Amino acid sequence: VDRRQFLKTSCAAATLAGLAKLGAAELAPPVRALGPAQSLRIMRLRHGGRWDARMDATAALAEEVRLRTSIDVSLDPLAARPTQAAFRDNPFAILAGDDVVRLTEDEREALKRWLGVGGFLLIDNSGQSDQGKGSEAFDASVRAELERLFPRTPLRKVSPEHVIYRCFYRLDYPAGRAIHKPFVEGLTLGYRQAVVLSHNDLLGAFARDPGGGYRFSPVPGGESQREMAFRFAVNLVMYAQCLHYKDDQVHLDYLLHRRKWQIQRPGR
Amino acid sequence: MSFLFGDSGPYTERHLVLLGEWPPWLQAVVIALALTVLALSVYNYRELRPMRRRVGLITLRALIVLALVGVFYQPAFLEQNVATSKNHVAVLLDVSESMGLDHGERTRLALARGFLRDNADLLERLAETNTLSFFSFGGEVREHGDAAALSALKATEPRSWLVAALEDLRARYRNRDLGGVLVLTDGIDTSEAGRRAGLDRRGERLLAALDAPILSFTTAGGAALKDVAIEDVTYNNFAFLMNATSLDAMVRVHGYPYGSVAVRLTENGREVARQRIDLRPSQDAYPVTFEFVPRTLGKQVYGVAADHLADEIYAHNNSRQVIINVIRDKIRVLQIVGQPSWDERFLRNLLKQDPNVDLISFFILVNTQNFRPVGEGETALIPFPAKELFEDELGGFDLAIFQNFNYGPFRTREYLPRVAQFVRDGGAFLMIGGPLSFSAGRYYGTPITEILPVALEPSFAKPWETAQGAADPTIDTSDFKPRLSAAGERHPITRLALDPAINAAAWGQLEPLEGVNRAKRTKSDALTLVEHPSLRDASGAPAPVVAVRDVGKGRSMAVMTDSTWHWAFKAANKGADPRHYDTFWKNALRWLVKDPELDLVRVRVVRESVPLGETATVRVEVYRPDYRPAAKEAVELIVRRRGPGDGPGEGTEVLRDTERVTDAAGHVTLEVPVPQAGVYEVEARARVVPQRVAKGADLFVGTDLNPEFERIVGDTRLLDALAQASGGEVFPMDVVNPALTLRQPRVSKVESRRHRELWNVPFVLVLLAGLMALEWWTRRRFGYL
Repeated sequence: VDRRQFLKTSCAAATLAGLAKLGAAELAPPVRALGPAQSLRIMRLRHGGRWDARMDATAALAEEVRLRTSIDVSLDPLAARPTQAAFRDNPFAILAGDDVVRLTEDEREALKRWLGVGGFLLIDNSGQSDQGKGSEAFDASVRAELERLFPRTPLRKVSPEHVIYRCFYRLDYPAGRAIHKPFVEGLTLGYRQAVVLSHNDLLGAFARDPGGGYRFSPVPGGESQREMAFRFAVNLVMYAQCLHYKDDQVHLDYLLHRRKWQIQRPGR
Repeated sequence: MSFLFGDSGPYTERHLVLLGEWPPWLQAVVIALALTVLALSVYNYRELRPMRRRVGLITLRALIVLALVGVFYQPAFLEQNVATSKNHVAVLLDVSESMGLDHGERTRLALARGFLRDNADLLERLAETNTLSFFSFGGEVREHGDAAALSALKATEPRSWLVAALEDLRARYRNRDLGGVLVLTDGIDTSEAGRRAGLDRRGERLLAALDAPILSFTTAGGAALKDVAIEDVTYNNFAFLMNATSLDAMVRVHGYPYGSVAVRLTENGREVARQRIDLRPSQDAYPVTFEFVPRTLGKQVYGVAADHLADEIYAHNNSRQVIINVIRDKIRVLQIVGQPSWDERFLRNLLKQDPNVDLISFFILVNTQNFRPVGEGETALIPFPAKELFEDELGGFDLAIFQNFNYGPFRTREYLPRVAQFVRDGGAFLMIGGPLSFSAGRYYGTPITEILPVALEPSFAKPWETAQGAADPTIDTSDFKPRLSAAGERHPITRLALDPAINAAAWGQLEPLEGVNRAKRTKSDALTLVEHPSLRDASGAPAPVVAVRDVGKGRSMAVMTDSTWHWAFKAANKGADPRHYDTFWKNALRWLVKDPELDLVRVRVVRESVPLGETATVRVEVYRPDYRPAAKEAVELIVRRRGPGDGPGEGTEVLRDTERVTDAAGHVTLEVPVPQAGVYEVEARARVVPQRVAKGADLFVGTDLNPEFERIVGDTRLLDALAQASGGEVFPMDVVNPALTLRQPRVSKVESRRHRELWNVPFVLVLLAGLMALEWWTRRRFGYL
């Protein structure tokens, strides 16, 4: 295989089905990290509002991430306030709710530090308004809180070209239980998205009833939309752990060969 | 005038002067009187016929009046007896080393001697009319008694500075009359003026002050000379590792109008590039540019050499050597990760943001349990490019990281020997712990085991069972507070602070880690830098958490945990200093890629270029593996002079000192004499590492400051410029009795002076009387008396 061939091959995304053709021996065995704290633990941020909305969806998400990726995910979700030790030890958290979000000053300070040193926060608007939108109170309150935390760093629409739409699955839009807005917003710290704000009740797509069935039927897309919601959530988790890794893959040729360590022969 | 005053001799100068210094009014009266007389005469003779009589009488009267007015002014000759002194002529002979080269069948100096001999008559004649002085020049001007003394000189001067010699002459002949300068040279001026092949303003001012023609007799311009020379090499004295760079050379070819010349670039004696020059009759300078990729860190010797052609008059200028310090532009890191994790994320984040690091990551994102049927193109997954990475590209990296990566499922076992060889050849390898690393990653018995700093036990745990929570005896999942080993207290990797006490305190305050991969033991030639506080390895020593090892020319490092990210994230969240995480990993990177600042034996030559005859000062610093200064340590010092084809460790040994011992600071200083030109390698060896000798080396160039042989074919352009600006001329060296245009002496001496009056000499009085008598007789004849 020469280089050109390789690049063609590597630039073409292989599908899971394609990987399956390679046989089970080609895939890594599932493993657990060296200790429980090394696993990815999906954490719910406890706040002054209804922080536990769609609480049962958290475990479902963890299970899906474990089933679909090699990430070692703890199936034992956690809920903690930003000031608590458990929160400080885990870099991935979800802030969900359907009403006003309230944080204390200490919590704001702790959350700001947590985000600044590497934490990733998914904010999910779980509300359902009469106008077919998410909770406006939730939306306004999280925006106000984020503005207090980072007054000079506003939330911005995340471009459809951003790596969160292709860090595992290739996606065109951020699905959820609903599709109130065809985009998510993000808050960028350094070169990474530290906060992603979903308007589409992402966790609602995973919420289960006591019998194990899904509690809501995604609208308007139904089950295919639920699958897209899972995929988007998996991408977000993957992004939290791999950041812009997939951007590197797109530029693989450039990265591998940008240093002229082989003199090109004339005529080649 | 001899009929008036007799012969006055050849050195007598005469000037007409007027002695009658009358007041102006008297002169006006006399001139008015004379004019009145003339006017009256014209009036009186107005009736005289024929006309010629009238004109003749008036003319006679005018002559008489003029003579009387002349007598009134008392004309006289000022006679001076002068003696003209000789001016000086300097003969300058070039005795630089290039004059010893052949020009045809004889040396250039022999041709100059022949000029002095063949033109002995000319010199003799010059000596009669001029004061001849004889000088030699090279780097400085020396006076000699006569031409014979000049002829006895040899071509030994390491420089030929013609313009500087003329400046010297100007100083010697200040306020003296210099009639000319005869220069016998091959036309090579090694000063800036020679390189410029012309005069600058300073040179023009010099010639104006010298005010004497420069007459050159030269062998320059001889078409019969044959030579190929590397005249100049232009290069950056540093280049980046694995980055193409270039070096320019100017090849000067004389006497070979056709054919071709191969020019080679060598790196430590090994040819790395070659170019062929097609020769043309109208060209003698050929620029050559080499593009090459430095592949070895540190100072490297690059040589540019041209073919030796038949009948070259000088062969030693066909090659030149230069030293280029090869440095890293960026550390190229290959990070292969078996599963996304926080440990991977924080390390990647650190490396990605480091401007000195070029990072390429490959993550394994799915495992055997992960199966969801999706359509083609719905994921962004790509196959792991094992062959491309390990067969084709591995050599381009400085560091390969296996972070919680299990080679097994990716058919990469066949490439593991390549990874091991990559390290032995000088690469760096880092294995970071996790459930897919070390023994748990089934590395026991693979070639990777050979390069790791730790010995592994086999693991018999089944991955499926451990995934369900079954214990793997090669893994411990408990929290622990890592502690520095004795070696770690001073090792640069674990140096979070310069002060050892502060460093120890910093380690004491680090966040606890969670889980380690168990190793059988640390290998005997490896160092444990960080150890587990309670776990023991098979030898009973504290279980290693961080260990390092030199492997062949490369280095390896084992970090037996996947939780160092705690030092960044958890520490920062608790308000502790998260920079310790960055410092630890950046230190590790520097050590792994052999940052020269972290070598155990460091050799520094104070000056990279040392002129012949002087000494090179070499400073050696020796450290123990834990980076304590190696005090009172025996150091062996070897100095070699490398030949054109020699690489590191090769060449002629010119000095070996086995009895040097470091001082309390671990330092040794050495003075190396430089008797010959060339590239010198200074190597220091110390047994500070068990079972092997730690070495360090540095290079310097013993420079022959004599550039006489850079260009050995003379250039007449400077001589032409000197001749043109001074009114001189350029002759071939074999000319006999040339016509020399020297400047005439300008200084005279008046020995006596006197006035010879004209009005009272008998001839003048007789002439005046004769005119008066003629006029009287004529007037009477024409009837006016």
